Amino acid sequence: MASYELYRKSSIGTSLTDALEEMVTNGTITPLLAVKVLMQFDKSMQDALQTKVKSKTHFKGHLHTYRFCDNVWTFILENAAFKTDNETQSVDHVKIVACDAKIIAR
Amino acid sequence: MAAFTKVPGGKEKELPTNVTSVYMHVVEDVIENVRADFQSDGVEDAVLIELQALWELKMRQSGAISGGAVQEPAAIPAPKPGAPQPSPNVHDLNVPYEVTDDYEAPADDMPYPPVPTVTSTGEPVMFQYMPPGPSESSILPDSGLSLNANHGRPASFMQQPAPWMKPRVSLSEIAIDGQLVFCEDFLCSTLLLHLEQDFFTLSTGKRKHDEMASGYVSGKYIPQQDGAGDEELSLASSVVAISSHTANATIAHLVHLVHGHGLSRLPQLDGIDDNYDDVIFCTTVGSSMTVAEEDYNELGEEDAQQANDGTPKAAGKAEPTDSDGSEPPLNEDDDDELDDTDQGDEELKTNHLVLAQFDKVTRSKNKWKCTLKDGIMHLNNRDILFVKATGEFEF
Repeated sequence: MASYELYRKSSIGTSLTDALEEMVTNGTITPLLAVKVLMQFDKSMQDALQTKVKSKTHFKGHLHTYRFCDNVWTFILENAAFKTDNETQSVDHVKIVACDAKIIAR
Repeated sequence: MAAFTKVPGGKEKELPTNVTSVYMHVVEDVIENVRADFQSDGVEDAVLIELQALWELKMRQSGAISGGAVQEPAAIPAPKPGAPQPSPNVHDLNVPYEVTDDYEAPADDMPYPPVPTVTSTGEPVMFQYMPPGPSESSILPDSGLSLNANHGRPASFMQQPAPWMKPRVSLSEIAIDGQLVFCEDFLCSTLLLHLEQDFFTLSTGKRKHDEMASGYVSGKYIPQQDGAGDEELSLASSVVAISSHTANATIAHLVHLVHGHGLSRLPQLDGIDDNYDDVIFCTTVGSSMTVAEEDYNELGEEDAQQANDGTPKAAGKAEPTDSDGSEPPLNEDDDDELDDTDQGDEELKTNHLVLAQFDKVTRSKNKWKCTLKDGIMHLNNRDILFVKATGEFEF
């Protein structure tokens, strides 16, 4: 199954990217090997989200900006509230980037 | 280093948060799955372990995972200062800062603008402090000439140079609407009245003269001379202004001689509190302030702070006519500041991010609904994962 590189932008993904970049700069590993690690991360992250995570979220807000380009939805919400389980997180602005789940599933 | 191989699997171990356990699982999964690649690449196992340690270290530094798990040689000095650290909301911090700047700049060199031309003995008379205040809202539309005690009284928030206030008030009372309402010095008031008439005759050629004159008579509103709108004066009107100003100076001088006080203080043209000044002076001297005042006040109502900013620069000019000439650049500066502010508002910077895949996005008029899955949310410096999410928002 294919996987998106989307999650590389998350905190766990940027941490890995930084670590790899550092090691490539040091000459510890080759850039090609770093790319392989990242591709593995894409798969592992996707798999973990599907199998390890059970929580569901509902969110509301005012839609400030929306964009659909290259099958990627981008929303910017104002005064958004995310309710997960019994916990609510409120933010003034939040950016939502979502790739098409169906394309991946094929 | 060998300890790393003992990293507990996210699955089995109950970690402080679900997110941490999932992340640890991902780390382990990735490391295990790239091991073959590393080996085929001829890279030692130790390098793989180093990668894992570095990865976890950076996640811990960024707050993505919380402490409990695998306290390894996280002691490894962070080679990179640029590790992603949760940064405070930049937007919130900047706005107040800019505002503070704006307020302080004018305050420093502020301006007790020298009152033009009048040769007065009392130094304090030369200056007037116009504290920024809610004066715009307190404009007294019907108070212009019909002075009463309340209007003449200094507002509580104003810093009043007390000693020479009293005489001024009495002076203004003298010249109300051509009548001697409160005649302390008959001679003085008579002189003032005559001179006022001359002034208005002189300024016949001015733009808006009729409006001003009528406004004066009806006691509605005495325009300020120094304000931001003055640049609209034509050259011709400026010339007239000079002559009228001379008349004004003469009036002021007479007043000064008669009263022997700092009475001759000229009204301020620069402040947002000019109305107050008008009231106190009852336009005897203040009436000399020329056409442009009206424009200024109109502008001032739009942005009181702007008007205040302009005060210091206008203060540098001794002659009202000079200040007229200097107004345009002043206004341009104000515009620039406004533009900067607007641009700042336009920028949307957010540290809150949601990465996910969408199953469905629908819209009905301005109502949007979407269904997401497999998402990572980073909100308020915290990571939250979801397998499914629904959102509703209106555009």
